[in-house]
Amino acid sequence: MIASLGSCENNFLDVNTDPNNPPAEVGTPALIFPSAVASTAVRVGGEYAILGGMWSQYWTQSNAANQYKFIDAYNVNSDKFRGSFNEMFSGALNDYNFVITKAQENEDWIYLLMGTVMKAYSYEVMVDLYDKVPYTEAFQGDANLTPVYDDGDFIYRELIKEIDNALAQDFNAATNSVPDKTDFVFSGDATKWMQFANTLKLKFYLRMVNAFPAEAKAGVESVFANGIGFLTEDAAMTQFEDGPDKSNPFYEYNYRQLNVATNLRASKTLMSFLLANSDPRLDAIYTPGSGGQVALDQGNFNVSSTVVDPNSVSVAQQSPLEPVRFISAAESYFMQAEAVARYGVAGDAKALYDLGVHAAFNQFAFDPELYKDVLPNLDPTVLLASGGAYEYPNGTFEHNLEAIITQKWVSCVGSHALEGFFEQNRTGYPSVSAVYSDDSEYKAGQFVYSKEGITNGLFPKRLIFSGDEYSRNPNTPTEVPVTGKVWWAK
Amino acid sequence: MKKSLFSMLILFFIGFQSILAQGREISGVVTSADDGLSIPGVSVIVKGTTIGTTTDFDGKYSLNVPDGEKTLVFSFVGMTTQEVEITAATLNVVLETESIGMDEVVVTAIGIKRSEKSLGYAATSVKGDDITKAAPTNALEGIQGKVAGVSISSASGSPGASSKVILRGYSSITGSNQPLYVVDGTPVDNRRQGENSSTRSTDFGNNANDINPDNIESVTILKGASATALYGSRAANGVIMITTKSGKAGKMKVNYNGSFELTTPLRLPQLQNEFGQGWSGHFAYEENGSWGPKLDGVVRPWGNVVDNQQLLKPFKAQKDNVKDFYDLGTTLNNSVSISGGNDNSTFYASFNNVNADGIIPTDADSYKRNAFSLKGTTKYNNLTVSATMNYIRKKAKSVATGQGSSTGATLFQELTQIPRDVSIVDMKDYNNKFYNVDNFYTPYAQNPYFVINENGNDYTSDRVYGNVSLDYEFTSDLSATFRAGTDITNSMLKDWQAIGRPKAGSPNFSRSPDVGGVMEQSVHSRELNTDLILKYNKDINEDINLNVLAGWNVNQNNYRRHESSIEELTIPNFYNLSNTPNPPKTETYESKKRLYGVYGQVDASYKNFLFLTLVARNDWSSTLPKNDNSFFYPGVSLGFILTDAVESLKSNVLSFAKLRTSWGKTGNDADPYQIYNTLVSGSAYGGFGSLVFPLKGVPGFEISNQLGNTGLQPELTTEMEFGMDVRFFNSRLGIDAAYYSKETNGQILPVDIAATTGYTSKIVNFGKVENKGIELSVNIVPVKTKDFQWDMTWNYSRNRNKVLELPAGLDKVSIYSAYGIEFNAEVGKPIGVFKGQTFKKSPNGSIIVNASTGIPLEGAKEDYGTAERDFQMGLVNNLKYKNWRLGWSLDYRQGGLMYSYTARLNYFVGNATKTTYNDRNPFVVPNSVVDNGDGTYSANTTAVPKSRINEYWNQTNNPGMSQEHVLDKTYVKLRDVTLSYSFNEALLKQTPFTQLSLTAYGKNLFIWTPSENNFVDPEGSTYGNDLRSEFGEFAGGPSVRSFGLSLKASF
Repeated sequence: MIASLGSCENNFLDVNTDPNNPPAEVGTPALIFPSAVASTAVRVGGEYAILGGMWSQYWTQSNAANQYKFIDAYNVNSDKFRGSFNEMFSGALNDYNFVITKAQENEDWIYLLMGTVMKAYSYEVMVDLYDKVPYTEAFQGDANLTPVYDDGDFIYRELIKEIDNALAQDFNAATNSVPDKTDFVFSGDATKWMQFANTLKLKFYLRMVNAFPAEAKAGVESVFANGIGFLTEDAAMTQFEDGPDKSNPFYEYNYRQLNVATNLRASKTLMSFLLANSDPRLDAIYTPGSGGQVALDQGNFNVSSTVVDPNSVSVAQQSPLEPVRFISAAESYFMQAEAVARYGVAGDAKALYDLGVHAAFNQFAFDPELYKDVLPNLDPTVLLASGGAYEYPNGTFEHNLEAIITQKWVSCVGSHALEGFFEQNRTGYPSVSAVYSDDSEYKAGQFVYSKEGITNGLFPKRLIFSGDEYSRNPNTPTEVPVTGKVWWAK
Repeated sequence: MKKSLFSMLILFFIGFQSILAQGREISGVVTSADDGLSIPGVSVIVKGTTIGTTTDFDGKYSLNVPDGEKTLVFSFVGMTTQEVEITAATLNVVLETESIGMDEVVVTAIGIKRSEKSLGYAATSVKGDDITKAAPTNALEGIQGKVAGVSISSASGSPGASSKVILRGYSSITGSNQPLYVVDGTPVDNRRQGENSSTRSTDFGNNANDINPDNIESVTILKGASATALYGSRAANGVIMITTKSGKAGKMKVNYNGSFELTTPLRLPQLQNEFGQGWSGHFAYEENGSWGPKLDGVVRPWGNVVDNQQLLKPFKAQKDNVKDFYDLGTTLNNSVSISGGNDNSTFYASFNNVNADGIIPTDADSYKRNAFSLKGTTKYNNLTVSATMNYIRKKAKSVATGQGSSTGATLFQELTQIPRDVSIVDMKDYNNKFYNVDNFYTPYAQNPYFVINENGNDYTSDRVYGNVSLDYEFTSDLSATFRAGTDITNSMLKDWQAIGRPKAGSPNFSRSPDVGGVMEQSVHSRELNTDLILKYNKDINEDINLNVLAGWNVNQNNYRRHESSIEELTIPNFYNLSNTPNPPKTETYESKKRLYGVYGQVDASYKNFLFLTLVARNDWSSTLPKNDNSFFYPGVSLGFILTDAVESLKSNVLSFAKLRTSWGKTGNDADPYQIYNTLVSGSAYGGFGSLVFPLKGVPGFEISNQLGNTGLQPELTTEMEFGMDVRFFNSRLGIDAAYYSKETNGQILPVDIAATTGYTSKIVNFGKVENKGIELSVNIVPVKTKDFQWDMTWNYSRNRNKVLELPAGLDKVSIYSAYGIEFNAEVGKPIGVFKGQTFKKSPNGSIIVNASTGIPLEGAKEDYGTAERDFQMGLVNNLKYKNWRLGWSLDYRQGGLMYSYTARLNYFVGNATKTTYNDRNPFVVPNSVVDNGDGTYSANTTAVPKSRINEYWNQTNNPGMSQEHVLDKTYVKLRDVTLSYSFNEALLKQTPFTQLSLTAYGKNLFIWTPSENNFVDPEGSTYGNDLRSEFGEFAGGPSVRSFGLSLKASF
C-alpha cells in the first residue's frame, strides 16, 4: 500500500465514484421516463385517490378503524400529504423535466411529447389541489432553492404552450427513438400521445369555464378544430402485478400495506345512487359485508359498533391490477359531450355521452378473475335506452351537464377518484343535499356534509400548502383554509 | 549473554557519563509493595546528578556512585518516588503504588505513554479491574456513570444490546457522534449492526462491545481536540483507547474469571387497574383496549365464540399480566487467560465465552460470544516485534421493536395492546383454538406468543482484528515504529416473519393478513490502518527534555452489504428466499474510503513542571473533492505543575496542584460519494408501499433526490480547554475540573430542501454547532487505616449544546419524526428540539374545544423542549476492609426530553394510569372555551362524554395529546453493588492458587424516574446509538436488573 501511495498518490485517493448509483450523466429519456410515470401513478392513483374518493363520497371511514378519519372530517393541515407533494415534484415532475431537456437536445421528439404531456398532466393535478405551485422558478436545484409560487391559471397557459410546442414537432424524423415498452402508456405510439395531448388541452380549457369563460370557449373550439382528435382509450399505466411493490398503488397502500384493510367502506352517497338506479356496477365497486350491500353515511365513523356492526358494511372493492388512468376513455367522451353541450362545437352530445357510459361500464375488464360474477352484467344499454335511468336528458344545458358529470363521477371510482372530486368542485355535480343522508328527505346520490366535518358545513376544496414547503421555502404563500376555492372552482 | 546485551542497551539509555565516573558499587533489587514482585525498568539516579541506571528484568540494579554522594532516587511510573540514603553496598527497595493516580501513566494518542501529570488536557484512565468488577459482558458497561464528561447508555435490556458513548455532547447532526475506538494503537470498527426505524428495529450490538473486558489492562478516554488530533479524521468525537493485557516475564500465569447472572425486568410500564376491556366506555370482547367499564370482578364470557364455546374470565385487573409474561434471564460469562514470558519474549492468550438469554420467553433474545485473543512480543537486538490477534464469533437473536409491518408483527406493540383484565400467560399456547390466528380475541392485535415463537432472526458474525508492530531503536534517542492493523468482520443475518393469515370466515378475517417474509443480509467490512512513526527523545540540558514524533498514516475502509428479502410466503414455516410468488427485493451497497495523513508532535518539558505539547496533522481524503481534499489541523497544550514549580506551596494541606490548558482543531472528512449527482434505481414511494423497478421487464432509474456538492469541505472542530487538578491532605482529597468550549464548523449533512426545486435534499457544509461544558471529578478517601479504606469518587458533567447556524433560509433541520412529533435542529437551541402538536388556545390562553364533542382543537405546532440533559453525575463508593471489598455506584442524569411510543400506545389503548382521570366520568376540559367564530370565546360547558373519553386521550382525535408522549428522561440508577472477598495469600500458599476472590454483585438494581414517566426506562432507545437515539423509543422492550456471582482465580 505504501509503495502504491508513493508512486501515484492521486490514483490512490480517486475512489470516490459511487459504485452503487450510476452518475447522473448517463441518464437517458428511456431510463428516466418510466420511473417518472410510476411516480405520477403511485401518488395520483394511490394516496390522492383515497383523498379524492372520500371527498367524492364513494367511500367513508369505517367505524371500526381510524386510518382516514382526518380526510373524512376535512381535518387536513399542512402536515398532511407532504409525501405526495414531494414525490410529485421531485420524483415525477423533475424527472419529466430531465426527459424533456434531453429529448430536446437529441431532437427525440416522441420523448419530448411524452415527457411534456405527462408533465402537464402531473402539474395539472398539483395546480388543481393547491391552486398555486412553483413553475417559473421550479426545478433549478442549487440555482434556486426557494422558488416562488405562480398562479394556477398562469401555469395552465404555460403548460398549454409547452404541449403546443411538443405537438409541433416531427415525429417521423430520423432522430426519434423507439420508446416501445419504456412507454407504459402507449408503447411509443405518437398518434395516441397526440390525442392524449389534445384531450388534456380540452381538460385544461374545460377547467377554465368558470374563471375564464371566453378563453375556455376559444380553447375548446381550437382543440376540436385542430384535427388531432381525442382519446378513445384509457391513457393509463397498466403494468401492475399482484405482488408487493408491483401492484396498483391504491391497492398497495390501502390493502396490502395497512394492518386493517377495511378502512374504506361504502358511502351512502354513491351506494344509494347505484341502488336507486339498479346499476350493476354496485358489486364491482363494493364487496358486500355480512349485511349484504350496506353503506355507512358519509363521515359517520364515530357511530358505535353496537349501533352499526362494522362487519355488516360493504368495503371498497380493490384489485392489485387496476390501471391508474390519467385520462380515461370514459372521461374523454364525457368531456367531449360537455364541450358539445356547452359550446355547440361539432358533435353529438348524446352519442358521446353514451360512449362515455359504455366505456365506464367496461372499466372493470382488467381483472376478469375478480369480477367474473359481475362482468357479464355490466351492460348499460338498458339504462341508456329511452326511459332508462341513465338516458341522456337532451334538456337544458344544466340538465345535460348534470347527467354528464354525474356519470363521469361514477366512472371515476377507484384509482381515478381524484378526478371525481375535482369535477364536483368545478361543476357542483353531484349536487349537495340539504339534509344528511339518514334523513327521509335525502335524495340518492347527493353529496352530504361529513357527519364529523370540522369545517362548519363548508366542503373541502383544496389541500393546504405543504408543511415541508413552509419549513424549507419561505416563498410559500400564506395558508388558505381547506375550504378555500382554487382558481377554477365553481 | 542475553542479559549482558540488555544491560548494554540500558547503558545506552542513560548515556556514557555513568561509565566514566569513579566511586563505589551499590546494587540491589527493587520490588513492588503490592505483590512483592520485582520491577524491571525502575530508574535509579544518584540524587542531584545525571548518573543513574535502570533495573533489569529481575528488578536488579548495580550502580557506580561517586564518592560523596549520599542518596539514590528510585522512580517508576505509577509508583511513589523514593529517596534512599546509601547506608550499605546492597540496597533493596520496595516501591509503593502511587496513591491516587498522582503520577499515573496514561496512554495517549498513537500509543505514547505519558505521565498523567504532564498532560495539558483531560485524559481519564480506568483500570481493567475497575471495569470488570460487576462482570460486564462489554467494557463500556463497566465505565457507565464513572467518568465525568462521558455519557454511556445501553440501548435496551436485551443481551448484547448496543452501547451508546457520547463524549462532550453531540457535534454532528446527521453524521457520526461516536468516539473512535483504538485497541493497542490500531483503530477498530465500531459499526452497529441492526435497524433503527419505527417499523422494525433490531439491535445486534456495536462492535466495540465485542472486546473481552477481562483482557483489558486499561481504558483511556481522550476527549478534547488537542488530545485526539493525531488520530485524524475520525477522532473528532474523542477517542476511547483500550490497552490490552500483555504477558510478563516470569512464571506462567493462568487467570480465570467466571460469572453467573440472573436478569429480571427493571422498568415495565405502570398501568391502570380500574377499567377493563372495551372501547368508548362499554365492554366489547373484540377490543384491544381498556376503555370498557369499571372492573367489577364479575365472571363473564369473552373472546370469540369458537365451536359454540366461549372463554370466561373475571372482569378483574390482572395487575402483573405483563410482568408475568417475562422469564428470568441468564448470563454465563467465562474467561481464561494464560500469560508468561522471558526476558525477550512474552505472550498472552485468552478465551472468553458469553452465553446469555434475556428475559423474553424462548431464546428470541439471546447472545453468544466466543472470543480468542493472542498477544506476543519478542525482542531481537534493537528490534521489538509484537503482534496481537483476536477472533470473535458472535451469535445473536434480537427481538424486533417498532410497529411491525404487513410481513409480521413485533412483540412489544402486541404486548401493549392487551386489556388490563386479560391474562397474558394464558395465551401461551398460541395454537389453542381461542388464542390462534383465526380466533384470537381481537382483530387489531396479535397473540404476543405467536410473535416471539414464530417470528425471529439469527445473526452471526466472524471478526478478526489485530495488528503487527515493529519497533526499532536506532539510538537511545531515536526509534521508529511501524504498525499495521486490520479489523475484518463478516456477518450474516436472517430475519423472518411467519404467515399469520386468518381463515376466510373466521372472526379475525377482517384483519390484514401477515403475509410472512424473509430477509437475508450479509455484511463485510474491512479496515486497514498503517502508521509509520519516528520518535526522538532528547534531554537538551538538565532542565529541558524534548520528545518529538513524526508519523505517516494510511487508512482504508471497505464495506459491502448485500440484502435480499421477500414478502409473502407460499409454504408456511419455510424460510427461504425462493418461497414466494413475488420477486425478491435485492439491494447491494459497497463503499470504499481512503485517507492518508502526516502528523507530528513535539513535547517539551522544563524542569518537570512545565509541559508544552504541539501537535499537527494534515489529511488527504478520498471523500472530498479531488482538487481540494487536503486539510490541516494543529493543537497546542500546556501543563503547569504549580507545586513543583514553587515547592514552598506544598504543604500538609496542599499536596499537588496543576493547571492545564489546551487549544486544538480536529478535522472530519465526508462519507463517501457525496460529491456527484447520481441516478438511483427507480422506486416510487407511495406513502404505504411503493412501485419498485423493474416493472414488467422495464428497468427504471430516476434522478436522485439528493443534490451532491462539488465544493464539499471537511468539518472542522475547534476546541479550547482549561483544567486543573488539585489534591489536598496527602492526596486524600482530589479535585479535577475541566471547562471546554468547542465549535464544529461546516457540518456535512443532507439538508432538506423544497421539493419544488426538483430535489428534496442537498449535501451541504453548514454553519456551526457549539458545545460548552464543565467536568468535575472529586476523589475523597474519608477513611484510610491499615485494614479499612473508603474511597469515594463523585463526578459531574454538564454540556450545553447550541446550534449557531443553519444553511441560509432554513430555521430548522429535521433529525427525525414520528407521529407528528418532530425532532429538529434549530438555530439558537440545542441539537434535538422536540416540536409537536398542541391544544388550540384562545388569546388569553384557554384551551379551545370542539363545541359538540368537548375535545380540544388542534393548535399550531410548538417546541416542547430539548433532548439535552441539564447535567449528569455519578457517585462511586469503594470500601475495603481486610479481605472484603464493598462497592456501589449511582448514576444520575437530570433533564431532557424523549419521545415514547410505548406511552402513546398505552394512552391509545387506555392502559395508561392518567386515563383514569375523573374516574372516566364525563368532564369539561379545565379552562376551556368554545370559539364563537366572531373573535370572541365563551366558556365551554360541553363535557367530554363517556363514549369519547378514549378519543380525548387519543392523539389522532386530540392531537395536542402528543405532549403526553414526550417525557422527562431524568433518572437515577443504582448502577451496581459489588461485594467481594479475596482469600489471603498466606492461605492460598497451600493451594495451587495465587489469587482467589469471590464477588456477589447486582446491576441496575433500582431506577427512579419522575412521576410523569411511569412507562419506560429513559436510558433505552430503539433508534441506535447516535443522535437519532435521543429521539426516544418506539415500542421498545424493558430494561433489566441483574444479580450475579463471580469468581476470579489466578494460578
